[in-house]
Amino acid sequence: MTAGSLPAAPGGVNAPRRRSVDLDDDKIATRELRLPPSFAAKGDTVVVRLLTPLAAWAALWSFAAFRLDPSAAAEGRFLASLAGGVLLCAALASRRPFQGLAAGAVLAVAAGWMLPWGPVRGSALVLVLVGTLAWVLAERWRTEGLSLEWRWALPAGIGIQLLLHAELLLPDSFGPRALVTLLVLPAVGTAAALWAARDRDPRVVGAAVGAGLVLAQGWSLLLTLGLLAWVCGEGLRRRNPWPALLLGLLGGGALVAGWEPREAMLVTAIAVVAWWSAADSAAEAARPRWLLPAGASLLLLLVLGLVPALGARPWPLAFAYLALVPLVLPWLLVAAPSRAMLVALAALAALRVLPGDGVLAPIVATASLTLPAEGQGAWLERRWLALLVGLTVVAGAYPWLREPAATLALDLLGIGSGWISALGVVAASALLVFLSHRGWRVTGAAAAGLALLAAVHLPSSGPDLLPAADALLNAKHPNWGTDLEPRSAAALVVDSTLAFGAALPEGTPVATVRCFHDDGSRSEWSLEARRGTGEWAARRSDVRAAAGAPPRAFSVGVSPDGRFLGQRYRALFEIEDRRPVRRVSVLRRPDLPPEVQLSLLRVELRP
Amino acid sequence: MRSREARSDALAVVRTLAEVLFAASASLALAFRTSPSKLAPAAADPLRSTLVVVPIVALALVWIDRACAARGGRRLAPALRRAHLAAMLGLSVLTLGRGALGLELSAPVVAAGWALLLAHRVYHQTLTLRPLLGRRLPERPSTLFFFLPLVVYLAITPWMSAQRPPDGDEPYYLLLAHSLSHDLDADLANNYAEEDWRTFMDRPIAPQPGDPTGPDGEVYSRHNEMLPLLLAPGYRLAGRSGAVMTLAAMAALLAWLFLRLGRSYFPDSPGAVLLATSLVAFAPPLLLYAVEIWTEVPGAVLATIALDRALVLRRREPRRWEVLLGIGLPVALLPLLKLRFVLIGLPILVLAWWRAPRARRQLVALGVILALLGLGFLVSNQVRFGNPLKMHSSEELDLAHHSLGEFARGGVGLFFDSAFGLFAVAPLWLVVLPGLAWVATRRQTLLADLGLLSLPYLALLAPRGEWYGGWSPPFRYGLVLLPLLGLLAVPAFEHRRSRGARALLSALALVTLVLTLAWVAVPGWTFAFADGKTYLLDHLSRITGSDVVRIFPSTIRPRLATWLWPPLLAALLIAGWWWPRSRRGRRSLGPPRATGTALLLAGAALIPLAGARWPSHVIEIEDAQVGHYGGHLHPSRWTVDRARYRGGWVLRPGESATLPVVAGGDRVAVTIHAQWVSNGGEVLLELRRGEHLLATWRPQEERRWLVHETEPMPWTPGEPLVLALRAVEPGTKPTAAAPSGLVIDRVELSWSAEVSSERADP
Repeated sequence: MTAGSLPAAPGGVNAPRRRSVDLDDDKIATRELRLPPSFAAKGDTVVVRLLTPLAAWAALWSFAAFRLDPSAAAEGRFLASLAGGVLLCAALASRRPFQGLAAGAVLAVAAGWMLPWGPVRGSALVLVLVGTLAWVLAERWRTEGLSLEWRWALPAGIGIQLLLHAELLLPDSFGPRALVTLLVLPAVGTAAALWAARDRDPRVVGAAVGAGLVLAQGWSLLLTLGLLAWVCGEGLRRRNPWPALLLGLLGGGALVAGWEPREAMLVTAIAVVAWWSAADSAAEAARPRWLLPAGASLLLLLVLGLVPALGARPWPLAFAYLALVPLVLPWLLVAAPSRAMLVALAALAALRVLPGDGVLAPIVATASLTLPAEGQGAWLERRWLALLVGLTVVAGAYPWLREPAATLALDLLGIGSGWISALGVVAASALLVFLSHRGWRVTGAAAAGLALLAAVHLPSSGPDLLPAADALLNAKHPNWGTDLEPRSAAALVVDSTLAFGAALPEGTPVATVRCFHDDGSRSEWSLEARRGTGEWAARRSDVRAAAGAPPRAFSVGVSPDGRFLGQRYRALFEIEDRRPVRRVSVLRRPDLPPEVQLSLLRVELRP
Repeated sequence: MRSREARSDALAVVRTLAEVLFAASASLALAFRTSPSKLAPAAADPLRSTLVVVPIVALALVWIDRACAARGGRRLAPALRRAHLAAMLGLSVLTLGRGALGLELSAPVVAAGWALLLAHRVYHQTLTLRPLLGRRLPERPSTLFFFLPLVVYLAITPWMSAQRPPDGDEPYYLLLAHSLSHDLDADLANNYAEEDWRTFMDRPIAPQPGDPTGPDGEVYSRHNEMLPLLLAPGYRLAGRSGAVMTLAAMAALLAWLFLRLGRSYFPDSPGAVLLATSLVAFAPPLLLYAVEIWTEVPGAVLATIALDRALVLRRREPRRWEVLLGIGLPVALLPLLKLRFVLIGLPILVLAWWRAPRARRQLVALGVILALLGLGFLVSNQVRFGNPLKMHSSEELDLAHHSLGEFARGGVGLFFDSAFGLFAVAPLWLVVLPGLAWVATRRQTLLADLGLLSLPYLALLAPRGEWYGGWSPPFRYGLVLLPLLGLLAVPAFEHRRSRGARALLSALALVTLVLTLAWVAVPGWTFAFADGKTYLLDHLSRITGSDVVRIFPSTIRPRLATWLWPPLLAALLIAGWWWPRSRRGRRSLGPPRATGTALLLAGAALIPLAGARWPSHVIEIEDAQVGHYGGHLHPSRWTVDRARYRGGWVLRPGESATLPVVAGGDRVAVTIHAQWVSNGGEVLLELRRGEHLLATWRPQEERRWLVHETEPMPWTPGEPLVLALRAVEPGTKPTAAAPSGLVIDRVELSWSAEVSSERADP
């Protein structure tokens, strides 16, 4: 029997879990200490459900409306809208508006009120919102079992989308495309997930969609298309035309709108291959024989055609991603090798040629859908996915802080772009898979040990070398420097932004960064436009129209007028042999246009 | 069979050893990872010590969970345990990786995250412990009710201690403990000379005013030696940390004793008593004092032991040793901790005599012994320090020279003051109001007992100028009464199922949770200055530019809110608690918890609105929302017993202050309370509406508080009131080093509507 055809038997994964158990012989229930469930059927209306989110929105908005600092006020209004929207979705998705929702709302308001404005406040508030939404879903799972249903999956999907595409709430980004992103993509994606869950273990679907959502930072077009394409196979087997129709509409619309057409085609091809490779023997007979050669040929053509145009990621990094994507060893153990290799190769090809981390999402999601629900590898698979999801959620808690969540997860794990790092991850995976045969206690202990090792090797931060105010380098005052007590350092970190620098071509040197060492030598690097630094207003509509897509930011914050997200950039320069540093200086290049200004926001020597 | 058991035991030992080994290695690894030698010294991670204790605390909580199950309780759900483990890993990553995330300022936020996780664990663990109490409270509750609070206190100690060096009287207690443990004497002269305070703080300390001295240059502390004696063993072993851990153990013991005390009044309400115990143990103020060095926690422990034993005498035949050790010893030790505790100890003796007729003979004998001991104590003080009361005087006991207003201010302030009151530091304590109403309406013995035990102490304390404690977390002087207040919470928790009670409990619990997280994350916020404000309210006022402080009560700076809030809250709580259960056909107000939370948040939304819309009547010029362009605070922030002074702001010629004003009419009369300090040359105060000059005032009398009132003047909404000082004769040289100045205490605004057709001039 396959996982997909498991009946909803008592005690099975689909069965609702019991809410409480008898405690001991004298029947003293700890429930006595709990307040009775407040949301019994009576009185649990939509209006009541809306009360807490609306009140939280009002509290945050009221506080923002009366702030003196316009920048803080703009950020406050933005966070109020975000918190209100996400809490509203959480209230609608919850089984009953329970304690977790109330606690989340109050903690969100407290974070909005008490913390200083800026990344810290945004991060804390978004972490609270993420936790609240997760709590709501976990509570539903605990009480009812994991059964995907429209009535909670859609609000949950929109809530996640709001969290991860918060920028769309700002005036400069809001429009028809934003509405499609916020509402249509979650709706179609949820439909695809529900279709996929009809024949599969909900845990597999939930893990697959969850990983995809985190990696794509919400419902992206690629993720939605990938899932739809995967579901199309199921639809063909069941003679259900709706997935294909939706795929055609969405894909066609995207092509007409010029919305990532090449990537969309490639993802669709990979999804078809993944569906063909699915560990679902019941569906095997229904698979058209021509589908695999067709998909593989299309894939090959696309990869060959795209390599000259894109070729975005070096091979070691692609392998590292592949290890991060839980495909390599756990998956190989549980899937038929030929199919596993096929999906892995397709994913590797995509990772090699497609830029951006968004492409990982459909690959992870569709590949994860091919996994069986039970077996040695499945246990490890889900936990590996959970670790991945956890890391990326923590990293992306301030979603506009760092766009490439997957890259950040790699950074947090201390995985660089070299072969050694990639092989290290593969070896760790192999170890865990090997130990998984010894039972979950041994595996858990090994995983805890590995997590501890990873935690110990996380990069440290050093103190900020700048004085209290930021340093502004312009044509009149082009130099900044500071003398230090000599100290060993592994790297120099420079956070900065440019003003009036949007027109500078990528790679234009804008400043020279120097470290003077104790032994008289010095290290020197160049800070380059659109790489280590860039225009702060790169996302403003007029700048975007003139200068093109904004470069990747280290973090962002709401602009003082509250219309767009300003960008902040980080450059990291490694110091050879950790030589002691006694002076750090930054010199604006004299050949820059005179109006270009460089703001230094943080200069840090990493120990 | 036996071999299987032996194998199982051996496996358990191996598992325990493995867990200890793993926790220790994890702690060591984290200690190494965050060691200051690896980072730049200035970048030593403030969360380092917290990270180091996390594996140990986690292991202790796991053991408590297992022990609970082994003793008949319930284990935490596996999903919950996994969720806690995942959250712990996530927080560890966030703690260690926050630098890489670019969140350098977030240490208190991360600390709050850890505290939230701990709170969640403790909440669920407390529920699992409930079966251990059975249907009737046991005579001796399980020790897990001691260990759980202890683990909580030890978990928060590293962060809270690292955030704040010893303050107030704490360093003096520690120095005395140092002297007792290292020199085996109470003479501090050598300890001051050798700067022994460097072992626990960086800021130098000197003998306090009122410290007794000896004929050969000895310097004694004005504080009693009882608390330092208690701390000395721990201090000798682990310095300040050892002393703090000793007091944490005392606080945990207090929680356990409270649970046992509950049996004397509510033996058949174990659930409600457990909730009240949680309130006592895990909510401020005990949570804050568990990691501080004050006499209050040991005082409360001794008082609770004595009270518990006294109440036990009601139930069974008295035993001589029990009377002597259980009541006599704690009562004898109480004044040795702090002299004022004698007003707690004596009423306990009286209560025992009153409630236990069978033990009266033993109690009379005990009273004689205690009287002789007390006499000896007074004589000893007279011989050593020349004063039987050491640093106190008998006049302090004379209640007649205090006005009723002073009693009211201290009494109300102890509970309702926004900076120092019990209900402000943890609003969940407001449940004692419906509890008190319940006890009063049923004329329970508890009410009489509470009156007897607390009124003498409160009568002494409330009218004191320094009723608020002074440079300590809130409710210091009241902490010794905390177990008694906790008893009042029991009937409220017992009747918590009405809709109103559920709504109120939800709102109060949530706001208490948020405040507790804030106090733990930023312990300094609990050390308010006695100026009528708090850090949080100042923060709100500063960033909104409106006077938010005036909405909340303060008895240090009495205002309308001071006298409005207590009756309003009492009425709301008492009426709301007995809200009728929903009946068929009646319109439901919706689920109460959601309603309570929504009302709480809606109330929060009204605070900035009220600050910005409520007409200004009194503006304290030193407040955060006032823009100061020169000048300084008066008296200076660190003035001893500062509450005795009229706080104000000093303006010197050329300096000004901009006061945000919410207009309450078209015309305003301004009254200024100020004092002119002349050092040569007269000054002129200009009152402006924005840029427009409204009036001037030239003070005539020096060094005296003056009140100047202007005529009603037209006012334009939205404009600030500007007070600018200038010299009358700019060329006049000051006779002293400092120029002349005007100390402005407050500005009062009287609004009136326009009576004629004339409009405010532009």
